[in-house]
Amino acid sequence: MPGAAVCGRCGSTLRANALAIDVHPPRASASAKRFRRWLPGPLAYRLRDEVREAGRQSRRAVTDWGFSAPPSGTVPRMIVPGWPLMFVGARERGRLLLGAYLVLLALALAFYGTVFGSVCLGLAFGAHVSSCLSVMRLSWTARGAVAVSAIVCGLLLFALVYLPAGWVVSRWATPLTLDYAAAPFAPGDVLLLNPRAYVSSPPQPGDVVMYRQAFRQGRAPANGPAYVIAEGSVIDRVLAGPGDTVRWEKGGVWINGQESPHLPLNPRRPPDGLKWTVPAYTYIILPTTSVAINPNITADMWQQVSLIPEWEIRGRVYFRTQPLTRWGPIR
Amino acid sequence: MPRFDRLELESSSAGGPGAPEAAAGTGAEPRDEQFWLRQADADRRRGLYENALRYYSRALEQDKSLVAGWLGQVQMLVLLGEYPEADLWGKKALELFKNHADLLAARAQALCRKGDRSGAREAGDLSMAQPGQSAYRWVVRGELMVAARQDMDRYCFDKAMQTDSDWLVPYEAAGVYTHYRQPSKAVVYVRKAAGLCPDNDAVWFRQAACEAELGFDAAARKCLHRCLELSPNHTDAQQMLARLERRGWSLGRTLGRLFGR
Repeated sequence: MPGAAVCGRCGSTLRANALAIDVHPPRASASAKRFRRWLPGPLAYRLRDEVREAGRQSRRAVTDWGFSAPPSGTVPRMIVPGWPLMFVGARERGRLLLGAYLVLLALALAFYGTVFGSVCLGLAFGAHVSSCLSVMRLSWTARGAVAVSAIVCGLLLFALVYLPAGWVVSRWATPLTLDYAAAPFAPGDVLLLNPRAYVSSPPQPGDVVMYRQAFRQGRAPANGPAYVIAEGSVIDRVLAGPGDTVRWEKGGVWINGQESPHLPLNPRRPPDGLKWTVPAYTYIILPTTSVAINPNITADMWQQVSLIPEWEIRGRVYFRTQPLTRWGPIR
Repeated sequence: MPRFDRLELESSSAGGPGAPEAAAGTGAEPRDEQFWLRQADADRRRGLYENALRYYSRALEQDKSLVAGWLGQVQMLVLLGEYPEADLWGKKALELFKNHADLLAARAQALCRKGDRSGAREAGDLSMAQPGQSAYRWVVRGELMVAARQDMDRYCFDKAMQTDSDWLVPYEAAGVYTHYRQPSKAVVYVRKAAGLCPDNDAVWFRQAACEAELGFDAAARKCLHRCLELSPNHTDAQQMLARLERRGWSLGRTLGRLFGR
C-alpha cells in the first residue's frame, strides 16, 4: 500500500533509509577471538539442548501416561488449602477442607511440642495435600495418578511451604518438653524458647533463660566437702548482670544495695547469705530448678554454680503451651 | 599500526591482496551503493573478507534498504570467525527484513558455528520454509548437515550448485568442509570451483590447502604455483609453499596417514 511503513506481506520495513541506525557491525577484538577458542561454548549449548530434550521427553511421557496440567490459575492458589477448589467452583468442598485445615492447624499450634500437636500438624498437612489433589484429579485419567500425584504434591508442599515455615518458626519458638519435676515446672510441660533473643542484645535481669550448666566438681570451701554437678540444661531467671554486687538474703535479691523485684523460679531452695560481685560477661542465675543440684550443697557451692558465663546462655524461655491449664507467658 | 587500520587512501593502488582500494580509487563510474556492492563482491571472491565487509558497510551507508549489504556483512562476519557478532548483526538485520530467507540462513550459519545447533536448525528450517530458492540457503543447509554429521550434506551442496552455477557456490561449500576439517570432501568442491574459475588465486590457494591437508604435497605445490602465477605477492601462498618445500618425510605424518589420524 502506498505510504505504508512496513511490507504488508512480510512485515519488513519500507523506510530503512529513514531510520537512524548504525550500519557498521560490531567487531570482535583479536584477544576476544583468542579467548573464545578456549571457551566451552558448544558444550554449553549442547548441555542446554540436552536439558531441553529431557524436559520435552518427560513432559511427553507424563502426558502419555494420562496426566495433564491442572486447570489454569489453580497452581498458585494451591498454597492455601481449599482455595483452588473454590476457584474451580467446588465451593463447599473447598470451604470444608479450609475449615478442617484451620482447625487442625489451631490444634497443632495449641499443642505445639507434643505428640498430639505433631499429629494435628500432620493431619493439617494431609488436608492441604488433599486440596491440591482434588484439583489435579479433575484433569487426570491415568491409573496410579493419585499415588504419584500425592507423593509429588506432598514433597513439593513440604519442600516449598512447610520446611521453610518450620525453619522460620523454629528460629523464634523452639519447643522444650520437660521430662522432670522441678518446681515451678512439672513433667510434660512444654515451654517455648527463643534461641535468637540475645543475638543483638544481652540478657536482662528478670529474663527466664535456658543455659548450659557445665560439669563441675571440687570442694567448696577449699578444704570443705566434695561436690559434683552433672552437665545439663537448666531453666531459671537472670538476677543480675556484669558489674553488679548481689546479695541473696531472707528470700530476696539485693542488687547494689537495693532490693530487686526479680526472684529465682524456685526461691525456697537457695540458702541465705549468698554474695557475689559479678565479673564481666557473666550473669547471676541461681539454678533453683536444676535437678543436678543436691539440696544439701553449701552456700559456697551455690555461689560458684550461680555465676554463668554469657556464652552458656542458649536463649530466652518466654511461654508455656502445655498444660493448657497453665498456658501463658512465663513471668 | 592499529591506529591506521581503517585509514582509506585514494592513492594506495599497489595492487595485490593488500591493496583493496585500488579498484575503488580509479575509474569513472559513480560511487553509488551498487558500485560498493560490486567492490565488496570482488574482494569476497578474492578471499579478502575484511575489505569486503568494509565495502558492504559503505554500500549500506548510501542505502540502508539494501538487503544484499546486510546479508554480505553477516556472511563476512561468519567467514572472519566472528560468530557472536554475526549472530547479533543477523538478528538486527532480521528486525528490518523480517523472515528474509538468506538472512535467516546467514543467522543459522552463525549460530551453527557458535555451537548452538538447535537454534541454527530452527533458523535454517525457517529459512527453507520461505518462498523462493537460493544457493546460499542450500549451502547453509549443507553446513547444518555436516555439523550434525548427517549424510545429506552432498545433496544440499549439489542442490546449491544446481540453483546457482557461480563458482563461488562450490568454493564456499569447500570452505564449509574445511571449517569442519573434512578436506577429503572439500577438495572435490574446490576442484570444481577451480574448473569453473581457473583465474582466481583464492580458489587455487584453498585447493592447495586441502591437497596439503590430505598429504598430496605435489598437487598442493602445483596449486600454489598457479596461485602465485595469478598473484605473485600472495604472502600466504608463499609461506605455505616454503613450508611444503621444507617438509620432508615424517614418521608421525606417515603413521597418521596410515591410521586415519
